[in-house]
Amino acid sequence: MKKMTLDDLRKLRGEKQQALSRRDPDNRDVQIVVGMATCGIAAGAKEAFAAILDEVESEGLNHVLVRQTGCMGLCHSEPTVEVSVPDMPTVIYGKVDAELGRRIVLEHVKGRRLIDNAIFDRPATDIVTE
Amino acid sequence: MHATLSDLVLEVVSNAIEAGASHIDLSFRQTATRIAVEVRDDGKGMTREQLAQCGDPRLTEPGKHDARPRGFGLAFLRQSVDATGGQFDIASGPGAGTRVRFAFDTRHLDTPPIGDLAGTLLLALAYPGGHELVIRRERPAQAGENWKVSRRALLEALGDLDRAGNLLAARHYLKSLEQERETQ
Repeated sequence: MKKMTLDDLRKLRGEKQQALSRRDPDNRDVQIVVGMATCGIAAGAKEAFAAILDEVESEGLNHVLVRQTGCMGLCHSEPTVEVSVPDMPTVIYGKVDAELGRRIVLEHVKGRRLIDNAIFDRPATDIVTE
Repeated sequence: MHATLSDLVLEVVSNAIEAGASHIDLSFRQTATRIAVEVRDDGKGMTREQLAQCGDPRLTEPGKHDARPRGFGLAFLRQSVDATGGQFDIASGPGAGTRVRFAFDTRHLDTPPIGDLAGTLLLALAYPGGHELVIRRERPAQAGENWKVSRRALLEALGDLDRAGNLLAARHYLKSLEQERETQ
């Protein structure tokens, strides 16, 4: 692999932009948020994040937002991933390893189906601010 | 406990961001036998009392999750340093920012591996916020080239660091910088 420059990076961004395909007619965003606090990192959140990016790349879903957040209070079920898809309920998945990360992209984001036996309702009560 | 040195670096950078820093300098210096990391920020800093308590896993910053005062980030770092005969020091003052330094002897059997440094630094760079993060990587010539990355420059080139296409481009860029020198 050749060492890239910032100009190379700008060109690569242009290519990714051209491949950008928005599926939602109202331009509403699909968002995947990975918990990246100490608990998440220790449980493998970096690997989940990387697997999600890999799957997003192979499916050409360059428009999806992939973000990080701190502790969601579900330390017992890390890594946790919150997924928001327009016209679907926002859910938090727990114990997200690389395989479940790829399934989230393929089945939830692309296939618009919730994944059984992996969903938590909401963050812990001492984290939520009304 | 964290599995890799990269995880420990991410912890310290996250702390700097959460301390409200507008500028963070991270250096990751590697020689044949030693890895030395320094994270310097201009965040809110800590009082002498807070400094004395930091690294205690029974405590965390007030307001984070008050019902569960637990903080394992620096505790994990100190544990790894203690277990491997490494070095750790922290200097901080209210309004004066914080400087964390730690070093590991790579010959010690229990020194964690570096791990996926490019992938981890992507996370450090993509963490939300308006701060600048400058990363300097130094290593022996036979291992690969030295490099430097500025978050601000990345954002200028890409526009944002949360759209998947931009994250993928940034990941490719960081991997190209961090790749090991090919053996002849």
